[in-house]
Amino acid sequence: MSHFDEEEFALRLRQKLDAGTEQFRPQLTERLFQARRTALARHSDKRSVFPLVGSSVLAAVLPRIKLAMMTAGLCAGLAGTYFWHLHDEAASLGEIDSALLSDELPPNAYIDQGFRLWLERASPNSAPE
Amino acid sequence: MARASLSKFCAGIALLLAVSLPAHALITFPTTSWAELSAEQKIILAPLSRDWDAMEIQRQMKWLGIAQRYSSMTPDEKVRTQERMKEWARLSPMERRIARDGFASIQRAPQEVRSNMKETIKQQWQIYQELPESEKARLRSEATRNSSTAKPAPTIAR
Repeated sequence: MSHFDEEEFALRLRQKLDAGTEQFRPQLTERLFQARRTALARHSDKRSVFPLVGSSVLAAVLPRIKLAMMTAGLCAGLAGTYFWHLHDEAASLGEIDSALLSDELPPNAYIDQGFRLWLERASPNSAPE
Repeated sequence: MARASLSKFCAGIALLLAVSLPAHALITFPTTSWAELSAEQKIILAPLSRDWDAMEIQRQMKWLGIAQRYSSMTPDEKVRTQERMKEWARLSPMERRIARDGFASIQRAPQEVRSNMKETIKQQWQIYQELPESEKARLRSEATRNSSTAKPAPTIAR
């Protein structure tokens, strides 16, 4: 169908519909008018009562929610990695401290600087590094 | 456009904070209170009962690991571990590091050398313990003077 044919068709259709509408009973025309008015009023009320669900507001909020979720995810990942690092380091420290505390040689033997000096003088090769 | 700039700015601040501050300054994990420990853990870690609630989470995790190993120790090792717990927990991080490094250096030695080395040091320690306190104090003082001329590199407290 060409552009001209489409326009011709639409014109004829409108004429037919207008002619049909004129044949409606006045009560039916009035009811249709009231229904249209009620529908428009309700549409207007919804927009004024719930402005936040308006598409423009939603479009403004959505990127911020997305950014907040990404930041929260990043923080959770950072916290998880840090906790794993703490746990790993605590495990290796626990292993060496457990062996050190239960050993026959007390920790003070390694810490006492006087003993270290005395040991170096007594036998230069046996001082713990 | 402005929103994209704001997002980039926020991300930049977050990244800057993450790299410029130590993690423990940003994140604090909840510790375990003494009351929450099991009866067995309380018996093993009894010397630490007064200090426990003030300990940071990593030290608590470490001690809980030691308590777990405790059951596999010999009776002598168990006694030594419990006797030394309190004093060990009160040492400075630097002193603990020095002790760990000294212990690790002996552990790294070959098995045949290690036994002799440990035995020698143990004997020497016993002899040193019998020295008069004044002599030990003099040696410590001299060692401190010597070490003050060659300060060790700063390390992270553990």
